[in-house]
Amino acid sequence: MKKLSITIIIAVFFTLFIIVLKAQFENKLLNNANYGLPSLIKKGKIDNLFIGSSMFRQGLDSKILNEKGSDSYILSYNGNNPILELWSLKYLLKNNVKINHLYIDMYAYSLTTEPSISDSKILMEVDIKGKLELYNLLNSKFNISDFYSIFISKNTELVATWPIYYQIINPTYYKGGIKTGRDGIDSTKMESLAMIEESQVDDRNIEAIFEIIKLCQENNIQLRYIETPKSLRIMENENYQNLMAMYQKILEEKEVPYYLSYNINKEISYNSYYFFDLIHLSNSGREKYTRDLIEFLSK
Amino acid sequence: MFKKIQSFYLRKIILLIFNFAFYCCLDLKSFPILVLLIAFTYFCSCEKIKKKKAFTAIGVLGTIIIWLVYKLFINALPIGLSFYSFKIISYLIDSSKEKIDFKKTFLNYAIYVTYFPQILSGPISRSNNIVNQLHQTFRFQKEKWLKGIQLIFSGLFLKLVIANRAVVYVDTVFNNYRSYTGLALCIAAFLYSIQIYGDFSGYSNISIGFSNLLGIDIDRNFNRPYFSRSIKEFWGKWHISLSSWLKDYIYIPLGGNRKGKIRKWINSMITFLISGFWHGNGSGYLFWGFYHGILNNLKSPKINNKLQAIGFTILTFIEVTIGWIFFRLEDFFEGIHYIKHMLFNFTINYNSILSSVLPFTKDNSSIAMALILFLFIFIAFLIEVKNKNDYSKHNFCFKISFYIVSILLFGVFVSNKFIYMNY
Repeated sequence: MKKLSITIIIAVFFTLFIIVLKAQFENKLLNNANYGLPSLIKKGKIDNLFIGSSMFRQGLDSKILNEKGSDSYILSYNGNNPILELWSLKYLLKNNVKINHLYIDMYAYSLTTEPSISDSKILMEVDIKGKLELYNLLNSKFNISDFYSIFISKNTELVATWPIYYQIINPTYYKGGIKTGRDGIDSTKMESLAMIEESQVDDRNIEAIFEIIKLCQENNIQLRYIETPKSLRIMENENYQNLMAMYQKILEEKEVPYYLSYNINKEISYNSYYFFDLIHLSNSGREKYTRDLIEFLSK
Repeated sequence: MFKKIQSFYLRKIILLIFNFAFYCCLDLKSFPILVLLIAFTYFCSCEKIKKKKAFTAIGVLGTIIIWLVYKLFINALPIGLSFYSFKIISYLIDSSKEKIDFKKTFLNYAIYVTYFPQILSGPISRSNNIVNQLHQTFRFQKEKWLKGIQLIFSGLFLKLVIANRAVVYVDTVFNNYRSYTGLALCIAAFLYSIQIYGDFSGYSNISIGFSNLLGIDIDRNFNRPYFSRSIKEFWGKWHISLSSWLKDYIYIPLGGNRKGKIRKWINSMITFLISGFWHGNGSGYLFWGFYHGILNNLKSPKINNKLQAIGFTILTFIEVTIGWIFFRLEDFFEGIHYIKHMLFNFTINYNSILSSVLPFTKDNSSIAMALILFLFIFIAFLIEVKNKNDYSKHNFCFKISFYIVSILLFGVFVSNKFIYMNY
């Protein structure tokens, strides 16, 4: 029984050692990756930074953004909301990244979401301090489930399979953006998709927008908000329009420029082929929209 | 502390209180049903009763009626009812046939029925096996402890690292199978076979492990069933306690194989249909029972060499997996649609492989999820091939360390319900 107890103790301590090692150093694996925070921090400065949700990942073509010698980087996480966007910005500034222009995803439904790690990928991109900050962002009281998931279980699979996973995934990115996405769908399929119905705004997101604006002013960063195109069903949805109106009002009050998809290209939303679901652009939609956006910004 | 509990009677009282407390923690509102059923059936099996056979029949029928009422008319089945009903029936029948070789007291009977490591999902042990070992409870026995701890960790490994990982993919695809490719449906069916084995044999290992810690030896409930070379062999290795219960209390009383080939066939089909119905009253469960009944009645293959053995093992696994599709979908026609969709939309190319991996997480981390799951399935396969359910001291420290590290790092703690708790 003594042997058994010693075995259990050694196994548990060995596991704890691996957990701490992983929590602190897993972000180093991404130092030279084509995506994520670590490679951007290593780079040290960026001219155009796009922080947003999957809307940015699917809606912006990094190769096109970087044409003609421009220096752009996309930092996108699934379900990213202003609270997490603020946190990412703070983390970059804390790590001395110099940002000239910051473009933030103006996704109306993100105002309705609670603070949550909607994309666990972000946890792999930060050290143990960053993880603790994210944990504190989610919880005011100790929560064992979040603690276990943030510090132990999340991304263990990615780290364990890193030599294979990295070789497959890294080449699919270019400066934070994906190289190929998905093909568009026909209008019948578009009609059959379930509608998004969110209307309750979480005030913490509004506060986060104010703080992003303040932070950009303090750090001399030119801030702009961008709405990527959504399908016509979404654009015509009353909930969506109300949320967008609220978003616009906030930005207007603070005199922050914003560009609606309607200003950039009126046609995209009418063509289902430019989308692979209600809110995400397809390959052709992404290419078209990114070119139009560059042209619009250059004016 | 346990050494100090010298009185056998006191130890039994403690175990009964613990059994009751355990059940109350899980399903307090169904506790009165459990107690009333025990009291009623104990009365039916009492030695002082004159018309023994009639009272046995009343006890068995009463138990079956209560079970049927809950199964057919009330949606929420009390936890463990399907399992402890079978224990009650076996006790009543064994008792009437004078096969009980311990003192028939209410305390012994109640401990047997409510025995906490088995109350949720079995194994459905016989009363002689449990009650005759009660004198050993709460006494430290090194060999049993070592075996028990190994079984508990291996059970947790099968449940948390294998079954709970597979369930994510299985549920995503099975719940919306028309949206996925044939390849994804194939993988989901394969993973469901793995999930149900990991889930149920994992539970059984934990249950037997706890019994071992208490000092009670329980026969294994799974004996490497996916290494079977025919369905007949499979049923000797899968959920052994249920199979042997059905054989002893349904198949043999019906006449077994003693009344000619046709009767043997009919008896076997009836037994398998009851097995299907015991699991659920959907048409998928009934078909699953029927399907296994048919395959079980086929002649076992003659195996002349290793290659044939491997071939028949794979064939049996495929047959079992097809059966699980109906079992998982619970509906016969859905099962047929699933198989049709799987066969007619089956292509292997870059896109179909990519879309077949996606259901794990719906983003690119799916690749890592798939790699880890298949790696652990392969490790579990190697463990079964090498160890042949050997829970001796051989490589003990290595095995325990492996289980602890795997569970802590790769365990999925989201879905903690066991599949067989639903039955």
